[in-house]
Amino acid sequence: MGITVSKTVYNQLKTQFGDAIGEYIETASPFIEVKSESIREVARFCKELGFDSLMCLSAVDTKGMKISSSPQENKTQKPAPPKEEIQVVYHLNSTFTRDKIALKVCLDRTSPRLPSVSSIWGVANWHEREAYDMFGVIFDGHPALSRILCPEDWEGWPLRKDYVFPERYHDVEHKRKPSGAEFLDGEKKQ
Amino acid sequence: MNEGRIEEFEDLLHSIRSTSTRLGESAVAMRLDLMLKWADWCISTSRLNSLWPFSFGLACCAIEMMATAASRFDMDRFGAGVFRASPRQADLMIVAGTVTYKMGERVRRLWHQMPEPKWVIAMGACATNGGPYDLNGYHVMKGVDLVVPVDVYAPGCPPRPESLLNALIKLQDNIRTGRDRQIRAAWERSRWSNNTLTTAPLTKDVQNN
Amino acid sequence: MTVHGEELVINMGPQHPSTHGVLRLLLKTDGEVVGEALPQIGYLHRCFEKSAERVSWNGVVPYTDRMDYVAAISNEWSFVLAAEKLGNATVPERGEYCRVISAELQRIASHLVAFGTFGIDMGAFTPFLHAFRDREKILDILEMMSGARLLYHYIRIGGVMSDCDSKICEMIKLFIKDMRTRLPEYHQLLSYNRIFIERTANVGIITREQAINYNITGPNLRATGMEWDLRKCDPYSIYDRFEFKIAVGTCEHGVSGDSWNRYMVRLIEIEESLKILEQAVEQIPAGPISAAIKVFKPAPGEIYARTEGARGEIGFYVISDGDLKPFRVKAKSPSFCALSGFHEYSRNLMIADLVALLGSIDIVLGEVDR
Repeated sequence: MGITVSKTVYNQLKTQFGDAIGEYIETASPFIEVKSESIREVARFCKELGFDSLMCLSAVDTKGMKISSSPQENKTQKPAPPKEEIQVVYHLNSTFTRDKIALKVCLDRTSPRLPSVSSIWGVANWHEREAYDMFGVIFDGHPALSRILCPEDWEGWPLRKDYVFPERYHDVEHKRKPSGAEFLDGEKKQ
Repeated sequence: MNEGRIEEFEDLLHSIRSTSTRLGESAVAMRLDLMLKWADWCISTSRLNSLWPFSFGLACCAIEMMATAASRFDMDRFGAGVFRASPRQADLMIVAGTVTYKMGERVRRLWHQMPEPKWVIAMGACATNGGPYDLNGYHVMKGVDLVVPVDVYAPGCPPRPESLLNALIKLQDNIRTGRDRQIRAAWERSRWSNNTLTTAPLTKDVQNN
Repeated sequence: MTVHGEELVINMGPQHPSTHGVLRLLLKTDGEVVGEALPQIGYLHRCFEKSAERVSWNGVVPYTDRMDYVAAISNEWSFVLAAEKLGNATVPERGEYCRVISAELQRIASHLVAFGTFGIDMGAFTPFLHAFRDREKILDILEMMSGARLLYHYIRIGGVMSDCDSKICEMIKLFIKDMRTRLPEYHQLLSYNRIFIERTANVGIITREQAINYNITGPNLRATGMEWDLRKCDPYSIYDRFEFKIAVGTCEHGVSGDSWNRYMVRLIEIEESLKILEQAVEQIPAGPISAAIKVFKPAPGEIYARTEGARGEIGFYVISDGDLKPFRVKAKSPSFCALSGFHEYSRNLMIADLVALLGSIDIVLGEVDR
């Protein structure tokens, strides 16, 4: 289970979509790289293959990563830091065959944008909203893309690596400072 | 309240009535002062023995608060077992858990909805100062006392039920000695009392509703 | 004939006794009937993923505890499993057994809380007191094992924190014996209570298609009759050594996937967990409980690991770039997924039935918002 299944799924996807699928690299936990434009079609095809549930949808910001987590194609090369980009990773699960695969989409960091898969798996709706809330990834075709965890008027994308913590939210300071009232003084005088 | 004290109180009232005509005014004032002290004692004793907590669970500590109210620890022994779901019927707010910015505004609003006199226990490290989320919690408010006045802080992450009961006893002591009013007044003077977490300050209308 | 009145939007929560925390529901109601219930979350967003990127590998474990605070150990295990797979760490036999024992105890404790609070939601206060009385016994055992009552930090990378010695094993045996006598009591008290059945059977049905579409796992999925339990379907640790059944909805009352069946699955799971505990306590071998790992620094790579928690599949997508800290930790929580389809299966329910649906899904808001 695992590697062999991914390979067969990869071959099926490659014959179906051709260039939209990246190269296959064999590792302990392989993933299939997909071009962002065709992710919805690939996802729909995967669902037809039997991957009926989306376990997890995560976004990753690779800025500041020391060594790429995906294995190097050329083993003799010194491990290099990866390109700075936003990745969206889909973990799929089949309840019939009990197989798991992972799809990965790499996006430009300045304006990450890709088609939504919320029409294929219902659970993707909230996962995509979370990715938007935390990373600013825009999912085209999402029914209601808005912040889900942070308040509506929150500024910035908190889980990006270059996120600067806010000084204050409305009138509450982010760092706890003395209140200005001497609680203990009054007590001492007694 | 024990019976002897009630008799004492009635004696006092009787003596004021009988002597006020004979004695000078200063003596009357002195006796009235004593009487007010007795009244104060009566009121605070009845208040501290029937605190009605507001069942206001936010996070992990809420489970320990439930355990405190349940079979083994039985908060009812201290007269504080009547958990109310509505702020209108409660006078003790146990802030059990992490207060986030999104929730902080609600906490303040709920506190405003409680009738006076009211008290707040900050349960756990998060409600005290942000706890484990102090450094990296961009969305966590660093202590609930930034928006509501806190009478007693219960340490722990989460505090054991014994710790919450200890906080309750501490609060009862504060009410007995009148220290709760000093704490409240000090907070009202502080900068934190102006925090509203909304763009517009809470209007009188919101406070009453 | 149906009469449609004016649509009214009602706000339920974030402070409400039966939303189990700080969930807010926007109800679009027509009289007593809920047309649509839209969950609004984020009132307990505690920035777990940001915190996890900024602490050491072992330092993440306490934060995972605070995600699902009712069943902390299953969360710890899921994260530690991911980290161990990345770092190729092996766990000694006895350590694995300690993990199974603590996780199954935790599962029972979590289901007891679900049982008690669901009773309160349905208007019965007594089950709550019974459930918490028995839960305290589990907490005593877990306290002896780890030193804490609620959030344990018991499972560490490479093993567990402290041993489950013979004294604790004796306590567990006593507990199993005691719990077996309690379960019929629970059934008498709540499960087969006429009022309870009327209120929960055939109410808040989640079909299997909906469950798979919204990736609902754990007892909520099994209540639809589907045999899906990661302890059997994707075995991790040493679960293949124990004999137990996958608890599925019995359909004694109501139809599969309704509130009563979801509730019943949990009680059956308590029985099954007792079976696992019994075997684990018998089989536990001698030896070390933890591998000696001084500095945990896994090689660059990424992994998705999942375990069967009390609420369903807890998954962790962990990325390492060869540093002392994880580069990215994404937590997939079962409650988050279960709530994401709430608008769909709450359609056309009465407001009081909505409480039955929400209580039987058994969400923990710490896990939804993280």
